[in-house]
Amino acid sequence: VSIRSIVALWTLALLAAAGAIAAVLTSDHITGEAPTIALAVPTGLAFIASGIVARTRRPQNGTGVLLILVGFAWYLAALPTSDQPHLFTVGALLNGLFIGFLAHLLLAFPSGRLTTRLERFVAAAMYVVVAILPLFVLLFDEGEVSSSFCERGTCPDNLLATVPQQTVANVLAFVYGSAAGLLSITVAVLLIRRWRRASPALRSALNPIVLAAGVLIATFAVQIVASGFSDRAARAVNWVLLTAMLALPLAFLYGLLRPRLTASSRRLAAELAEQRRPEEIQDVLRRALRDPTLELGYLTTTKHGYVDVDGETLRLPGPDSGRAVTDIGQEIIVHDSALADQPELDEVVDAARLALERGLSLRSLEATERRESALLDAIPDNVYRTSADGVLLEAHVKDDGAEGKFAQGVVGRRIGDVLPAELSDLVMDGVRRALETGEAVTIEYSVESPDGVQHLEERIVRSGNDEAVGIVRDVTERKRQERELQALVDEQAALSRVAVAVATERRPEAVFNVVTEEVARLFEAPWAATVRYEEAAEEVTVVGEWHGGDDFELELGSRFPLGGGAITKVKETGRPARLAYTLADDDYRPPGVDRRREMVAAPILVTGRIWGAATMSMPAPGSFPADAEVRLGKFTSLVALAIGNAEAREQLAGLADEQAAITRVAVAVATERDPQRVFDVVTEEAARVLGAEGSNLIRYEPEGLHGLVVGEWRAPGAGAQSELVGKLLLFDGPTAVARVRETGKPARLDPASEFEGEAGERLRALGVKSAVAAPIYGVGHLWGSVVVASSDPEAFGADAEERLGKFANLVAVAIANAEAHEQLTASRARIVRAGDEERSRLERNLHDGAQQRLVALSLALRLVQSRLDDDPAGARELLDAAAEELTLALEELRELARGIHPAILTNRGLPAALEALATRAPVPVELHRVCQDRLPPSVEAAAYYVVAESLTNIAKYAQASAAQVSVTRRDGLAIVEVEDDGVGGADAAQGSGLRGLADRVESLEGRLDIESAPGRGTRVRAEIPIGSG
Amino acid sequence: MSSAGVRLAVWRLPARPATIRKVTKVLIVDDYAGFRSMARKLLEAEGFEVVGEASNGAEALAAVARLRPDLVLMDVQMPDMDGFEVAERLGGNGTRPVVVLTSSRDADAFIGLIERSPARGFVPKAELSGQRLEALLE
Repeated sequence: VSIRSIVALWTLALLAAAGAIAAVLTSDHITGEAPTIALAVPTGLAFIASGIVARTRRPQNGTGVLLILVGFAWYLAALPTSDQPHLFTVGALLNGLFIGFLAHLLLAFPSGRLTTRLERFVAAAMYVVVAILPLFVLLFDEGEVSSSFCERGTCPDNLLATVPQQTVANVLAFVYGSAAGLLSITVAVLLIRRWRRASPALRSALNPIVLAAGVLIATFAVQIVASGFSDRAARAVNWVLLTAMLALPLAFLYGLLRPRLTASSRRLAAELAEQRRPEEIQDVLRRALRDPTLELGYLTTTKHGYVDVDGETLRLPGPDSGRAVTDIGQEIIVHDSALADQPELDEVVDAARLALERGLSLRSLEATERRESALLDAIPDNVYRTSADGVLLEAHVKDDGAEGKFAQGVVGRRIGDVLPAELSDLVMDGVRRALETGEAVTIEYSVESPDGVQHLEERIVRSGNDEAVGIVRDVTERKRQERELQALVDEQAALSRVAVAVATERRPEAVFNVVTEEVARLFEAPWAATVRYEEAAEEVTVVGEWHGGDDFELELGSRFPLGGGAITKVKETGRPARLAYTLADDDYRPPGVDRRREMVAAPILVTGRIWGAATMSMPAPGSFPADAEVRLGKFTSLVALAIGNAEAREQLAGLADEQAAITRVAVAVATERDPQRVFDVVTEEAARVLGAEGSNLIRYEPEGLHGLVVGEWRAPGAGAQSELVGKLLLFDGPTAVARVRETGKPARLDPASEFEGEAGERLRALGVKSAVAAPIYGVGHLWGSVVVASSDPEAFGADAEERLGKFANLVAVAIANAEAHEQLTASRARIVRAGDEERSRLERNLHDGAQQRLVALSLALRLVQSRLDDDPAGARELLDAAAEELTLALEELRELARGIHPAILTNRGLPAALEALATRAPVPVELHRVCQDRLPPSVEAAAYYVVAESLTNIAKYAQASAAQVSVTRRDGLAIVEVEDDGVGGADAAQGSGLRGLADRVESLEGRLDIESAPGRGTRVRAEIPIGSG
Repeated sequence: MSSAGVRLAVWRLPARPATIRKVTKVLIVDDYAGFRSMARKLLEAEGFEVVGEASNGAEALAAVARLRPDLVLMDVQMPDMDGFEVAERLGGNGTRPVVVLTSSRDADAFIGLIERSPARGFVPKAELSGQRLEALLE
C-alpha cells in the first residue's frame, strides 16, 4: 500500500468527517449537536485509520478494506442530520449501510473471509436488508418514518415518497427493524460461537472485539426495545451505542497490533540459538507465537516423513482441521491456522530457521559418524561396498569359505568381471533397486563349490547417493533344515488328510484314492497304486490309482497277475519291499526314455492278514529316500484301519438296521389303524434292511398262481412307482416270488432263467436285475411273500435269503394281525352303513307316506272346524275325505313297522314267522325241518333274515320253481339252510343283501356259506353259535 | 389411527305409506295333490285368491310367468328340483313374487338353507294358515 494512497484515503476521511460535522452543526432538526460530534465523528476516523493500518500490515487480508468501508459508511449515517432535502433523503436511504459492512467485518474477522455458508448467508441478508429495504420504506413513506430522524423543528421532505402509503411504509419499517435486529443477534451468536471454539491464540485476538461488538449489539437490541416505549429512551440509549461504536475500531486495532507488541524476532533468535534440544526449541516457539498446541516437526529419511520432538511420526493436519503447517527448511511447525496470516509468524519462522539450521548440521554429522562406525563393526558377515556402476570399493571378508576366497583381491574390479554373468546381473539389479528405492534389497542364490551346493543370501542397502553396501551370508545349513522341516510338515499333513478321510469316509474305496494320491505327491512319484490281493487267484485288483502327467493310467477294478515284483514280494514276506526294474521294451514310452525304474511297496494288514499293498514307482533307482518304505508303511496302516473300520461298521450297521426295521414295523402295527400303512411299512423296511432299490409285498391267492400286490416301495431316485398296488398279478416262471410259493422257502431270482413267463416280462420292463423273496406265513397257511429287487445284478449278498427270511418271520405276525384287523374294521363299517341306510329309508318312507297324509288330515280337520256351522254339507264331505286319508296312513304305518322288526317273530317265535314268510313267498316253499325251540332273540332274528333275504332273492333272481327251508340245531349251532332249484350264480361278494347277511351272521361269530354253481340252484347255509346270542 | 369422533344421527326415516289392502294371488306348488287341494281350500277360506297349482318346479316356473301371483307357496321337496332352486330361478325373470316354502318336515331340517334362499320364509305344512302368510307378506 503506497504512502500516496494512504494520504489520499486519509484526506478523504477527513473531508467526510468535516462534512458530517457541517451537517450536524447546520441542522435545524436535531438536538445535542456537541456530544454527537464528540462521540460520532472520531468513530469513522478510527475505523478508517484501523483499516489503513490493517491494510498496510496484511494487504491480502480483507479486514482492512472492510474497516475502511465501515468508516466511510459511518459518515453516510450522518447525512439525515442535514436540512438539505436531497442530502436528507440520501441519508435516510443509506444511513444503515455501515451495519452491513460492520456485520460483514465481524463475521469475517480475523481472516477477512467468510468461511461458512451460514456466515455468507447472514452477511448477504444483512446487506439486502440495510441497502434495499429502506428504498421501499421511503417510496411509501408520507413522512412518518423519515420524521424519526428529526427531533425538533421542520423535518426535511422525503423526496422518494412517490407512492404515499403510510401503512405500507410503517409495516416495511417494522420489517426492516426486526430483520436487522435478528440478523445482528445472529452475528453476535456466530461471533460468540467462534470465540468459544477458538484456539487460545485466536481467542486472545478476538477478546476485545467480542466484548465491544457484544456491547454494541446488546445496546442495539436494547434500543430497539426501548424505542417501543419512548423516543426519549431510545435516544438515550443511542448515546451508549455511539460510545460502543467508537470502542469497536480500537478493539480491532488492538487485535491487529497485539502480537507485534509481544513478539520480538531478535530476542527470539537469541533465545533459540541457546537451545540445543528440540523440546526446548518447541517451547520457545510456543511462547513466541502464544500457541501452546504448536508442534515442531523434523524431516527424517528413516521414517520417510516428519517426526515430532520425541521422534514419533508426526501426522500432518488436514485442510479443515484448524491447523496449519509452515515450512522452515528441514523442519516444519504445525500451528493454529489463525496464526497463518500473522506477519509475526514470518519473523518467528526466519528466526527459527537460522537457529535450527546450525543444530541440524551438528546432529546429522554426529548421526552419520555413529551409523558408519556401528555398521562396520556390527556385521558378522562378508561385506562389500560398491559404486552405482558396479565397481567394488571395499570388501570385508569375515570367513574363509568359498565366498571368502572369492572376495580376495577384488577391490577396484567390477562385479561383472568377478562374478559369473548370471549372478552379476542379479547382484547389479539388486544394487540398482537399492539405490533407486532407498530400501534394503534381498537376493538369494546358490553356487557350486567343491563342498557341494552353497546357498547364499545377500542384502544390499544404499549407503550413499551412488554407492551401496552388500552383506553376504551363507544360509546353506538353514536351507537344509527348512527343507527337512518342510518334508516332515508335508508328511504330517498328508497323514492327517488320510486320517481325516479314514475317519469321515464310510467307504474304504474313497480312502484308497486319497491315500494313493497323497503318497504319490509326498514322494513326488509320478505313479502310485493301491491293490488288493485276491484270495482265490495269484492276482491283484487295483483299488486306488494315481498318475501324474503322461504316466499311464491303471483302470480301477482291473486285475493283474502277480509278476514277481515288489508287490509279490510284499505278499510273500508281509513286509515292505523295494525293487529296481526296467520297463519292458514294448512299453508305450518312446525310445530314449530312461527305462530304469524303482518301486517301493508296503503291505496293508487288516486284522493280521495281508489284505493288499500300496505301491509307487519312479524313474531310476535310488530316487526314493532311504526311509521311503517305513514312511509308506504309516500310510498303509491308516488304510488298514479304514478297511477294518468299514468291515466292523458294516456288520454292526446290518444288525442295527434289522433291529430298527423290526422296531418300526412293531410300532406301525401298534399305532396304525389302517392295515395298508402296516403293509407299507413292512415293504419299505424290507427294502431298507436288504439295501434294495425297491420292494413289494404280495398276498397269494388261495389257489392258482396269482398274487395280490398289497405293498410297494421304491428307493428315492430309483424310478417311479410301478403302481402295482391293488393289482392281481400272475406270478409264473422261475421268479423269486413264484419259487417262494412253490417251496415255501426264501428264493432268489435266477438270472440264468432269462426272465421267463409273464412275471419275467414284468421284471425286465421294470429293469430288475436281481431279486430275493421270502415267505410270510399266516396262521397255518402261506400268506404271501415279501420281495426286494435291484437293478444291480450283485446287489444282494449270499446271506440275503437268510436275512430276508428272518425279517419275514418276524413281520408275519404283524401282517396277520393287520389283516384280521382290516376285515373286522370293514365288517363293522358295513354294519354301521347298513344301519344308517336302513334308518334313512325308514325316515323317507315315513315322510313320503304317513306323515304327508297326516298333515293333509290336520289341514282338513281345521277346515271342517271352520265350516261346521256355515256349510255342514261341505264339512261332511271333507270329513269323508279325511277318514279315507287316515285309513291309508294307518296302513302305511303298519307296513313300515313290519319292515323294522317282524312282530310275529317276537310274539310267536321262529316257526310261525317262517310260516308267514313261506306263505307270502311267490314260489312254493317247503319248511323242511324247523327247530321248535325258542332261541336267543338275536339268533332267531339272524335266522329269520337269512330265510327272508334268501326267499326275496329267489323271487327276484333265481327263476326257481320251488324252495326248501330248514332250521336245525346241532353242536351248539343253529344251522339255517335255504335251497332252490333255480339258475344259481349268486355271489356274496356282489350283492349287498347277501353281504349284509354274512355280516349279521359273522357278528354273532357264525359263518355264512353260499353254493351257487350256475345252473345248479343255490344253497345258502348259515351256522350261528347259539351261545353267542 | 382412528379418530375418536362422535357420530350424530342426522338421517331420519320417512314415514311408511299406508298399506293398501288387496286380495293376494297365490300359486300352490307341491307334488302331493292331497296337500294342494287342502291348502287351496284353507287359503280360499281365509280370503286369498288361489290362481293356480303346480306339481313340480318346471310347472311352477311356467305358472309364475303366466299367472303373475303375488305369493308362491311351495313345497321344499319336489321330483325335478327342490323349492330352494325354484326360488332362486324365480328371481331371474323380472317377476318377483314372494316365495314361502313349506314342508311336512319342520324348519330345523332346512336350517341355513332358508336363510340363504331368496324365499321370504318358511311355514310347516301342519301350521299353514292365512295369518302366517300375511305376517310374511308385510
